[in-house]
Amino acid sequence: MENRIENNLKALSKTVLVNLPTDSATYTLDDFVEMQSVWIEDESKKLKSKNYEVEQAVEDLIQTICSYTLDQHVEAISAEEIQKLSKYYSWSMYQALLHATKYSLN
Amino acid sequence: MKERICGRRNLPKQVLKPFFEVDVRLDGSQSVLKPSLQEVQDAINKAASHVLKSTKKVQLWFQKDVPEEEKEPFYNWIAKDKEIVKVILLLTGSIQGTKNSVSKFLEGFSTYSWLWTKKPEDDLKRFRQTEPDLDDFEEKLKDFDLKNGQIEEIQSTHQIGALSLKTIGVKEALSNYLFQWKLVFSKDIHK
Repeated sequence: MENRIENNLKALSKTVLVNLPTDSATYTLDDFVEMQSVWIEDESKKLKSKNYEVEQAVEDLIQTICSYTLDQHVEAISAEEIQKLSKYYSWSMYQALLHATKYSLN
Repeated sequence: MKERICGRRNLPKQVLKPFFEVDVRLDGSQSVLKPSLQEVQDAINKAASHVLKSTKKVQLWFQKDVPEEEKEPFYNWIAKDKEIVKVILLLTGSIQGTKNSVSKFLEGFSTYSWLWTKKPEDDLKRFRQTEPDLDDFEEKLKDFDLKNGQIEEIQSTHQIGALSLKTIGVKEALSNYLFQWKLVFSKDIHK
């Protein structure tokens, strides 16, 4: 579960959305734009599927939490708490994607 | 991308590796860049826009019951983020900063503008009027060779910011002009 959520989020935030050569090679403009376009299209697909995977994993996590039979002395988990949890992960996803974009542009 | 194109602000003296290669050419009456600075900037803008749009197909959560084509992507929010907007602005203005240095460099070639603004035949006529002897002719031809040497000594690449300016085109054009001038004068020597 942790792997499906936390590690994916970490990986997502570190995605590099530009393909800048580190060697001293120089590029013509069209080559440069084309290089980015190809690279980003590929990375974008990965972002899309990972995002879906994490959202699914969070749903599963909530499912697991809700179906766990609690001791009768323990209070049931409120719907509010559940919503907080999923909102937290949704927000984390946004932060991860924002970080990736910001890092790549910088 | 910004660091690679504009350099890092906290390391102002760091030498940027050139990133784009542009040719310096003669275009009729002036030296120009090919591709132009605007074209370089357009390419940077296009690349930045590609990066930004990478989350356009990544959908926000809790939209499972929303029809596919109406789902809102993360892009809508990321594109509005203050820091993202700031970087985009810096990138879209990144080439502007090199404009002055580039103009100055290009103006340097105007020293040779007589090569195309004047006609060698007219100049020869004027030269003839001074009734030159053979030594004067030789002097004149030597001067052409000297100037050709100066042109050849122009560095073949000149770096300004992330741009590497290739001067081969302009150098060849200048040499060709000079060759024509020399030809007109040397043909006349033995008349």
